[in-house]
Amino acid sequence: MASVPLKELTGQSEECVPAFPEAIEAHKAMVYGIAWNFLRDRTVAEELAQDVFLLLHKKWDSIRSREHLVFWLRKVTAHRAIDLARKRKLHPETTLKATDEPTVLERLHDSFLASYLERMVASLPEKQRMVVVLRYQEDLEVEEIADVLGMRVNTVKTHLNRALDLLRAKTAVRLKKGLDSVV
Amino acid sequence: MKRNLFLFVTVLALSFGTEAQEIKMPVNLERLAERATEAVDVNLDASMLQLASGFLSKRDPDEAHVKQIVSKLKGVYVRSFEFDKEGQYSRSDLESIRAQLKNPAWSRIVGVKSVKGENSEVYLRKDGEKIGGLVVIAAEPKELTVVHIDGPINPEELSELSGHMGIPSMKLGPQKKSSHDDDENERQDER
Amino acid sequence: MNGMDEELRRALVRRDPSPDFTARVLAASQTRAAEPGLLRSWLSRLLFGRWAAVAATTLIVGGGIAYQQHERDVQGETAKQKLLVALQIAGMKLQGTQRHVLSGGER
Repeated sequence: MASVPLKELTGQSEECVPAFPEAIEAHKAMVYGIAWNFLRDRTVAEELAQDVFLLLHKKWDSIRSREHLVFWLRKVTAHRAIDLARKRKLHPETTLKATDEPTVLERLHDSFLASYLERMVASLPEKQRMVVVLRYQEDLEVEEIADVLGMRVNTVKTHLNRALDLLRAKTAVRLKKGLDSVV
Repeated sequence: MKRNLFLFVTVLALSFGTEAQEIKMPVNLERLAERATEAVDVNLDASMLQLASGFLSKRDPDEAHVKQIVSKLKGVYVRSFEFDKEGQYSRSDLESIRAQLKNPAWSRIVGVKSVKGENSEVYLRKDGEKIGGLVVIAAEPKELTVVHIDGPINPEELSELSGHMGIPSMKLGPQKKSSHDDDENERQDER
Repeated sequence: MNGMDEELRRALVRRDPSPDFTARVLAASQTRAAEPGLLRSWLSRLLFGRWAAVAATTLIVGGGIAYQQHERDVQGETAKQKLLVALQIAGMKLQGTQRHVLSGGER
């Protein structure tokens, strides 16, 4: 697919969008990374990433610039990941309330996530989780996250603060247990 | 000082004779899982290590480091048990492993006891002029861990791994989870 | 930047999909682009009966291969997580032993 010149709708300076294969290579780690960090399932994340790029192929003519391409990819990936997680309910969610301990069998059959922190992120409610992923994987500011997710800025701030409070509380409990029983 | 300690004991270990030997996890150790509140059982031979290594990300600095450590290993085996009370295992449960480690190829480089009943032992196996394997036995009143790493491994590099990969320390304690979604009421942000 | 921010940045990095990802996406996009128009669709329906068995076999074999790949992915991911857990446990126990030795535990 050849490069497409910028459609001068916004009056901004012209900038060529890369060819489609280059766009995949340039942004696959971003798209797959958002999907993986959100869903924690390699196969599902790859399927989602593939779907995003196939949709991009279909909507290629509407992409206006490199910046718009990145925004579009983040937005579509984020929304699709949230929809998918809600349909699949891949992970149970975590609150600050005390809950039942998992059984030994649940532990043995657990996905053995590499780090406790990643596990806690994976179990956040979907919107909080995506806000955290966009903030820390993509280094987006609150206003940028609000644009991507179609939320108000204050709502993004609320989600982020709640998520961080939950993660800090859970990590503190874990640390305390670790320190109390260190060899 | 930590670096010097490991360097010293490693040099000491390498001065002994060599003969490779596999370490088999005894059956009685497996039975401890029935009494444990938490149990970790890892058996990764060379082919599984290769498979696992293929899934380690080169972009993640910690996983890339693990990939490099694992590239020459032949096996990683862990049995770790956590109990809700003391006295759930005995010294005899470890005798079979200790007997295997009496082979001249293996040298006990560290053996520490504390007044709280926490015992730690580290064994290294010589393979020519290099380390060919590592066994760690950590016995606490309510926790027992045996680690066997088969292949060339740097104990110092391994001890530095804990403290990375997302958490300051790792304890095999029970985790909390719930099924409550506190996000359901935020209808004002329809996408 | 506090410790939690740093830990989250370290944990939530961009990741590469499987090595053949780009090729698969391009292949799938070409397949979609080659979807027939109305006339060609009518013509292809005439031939459909003849090629149905071939298509069905391809789907079954392809589906089987995809399932095997999925199983391998699951196995590989599980092996990776177990490896990381095992190395963390080993590292933690070695650290503990070091602390013991340096604090003058009985030998």
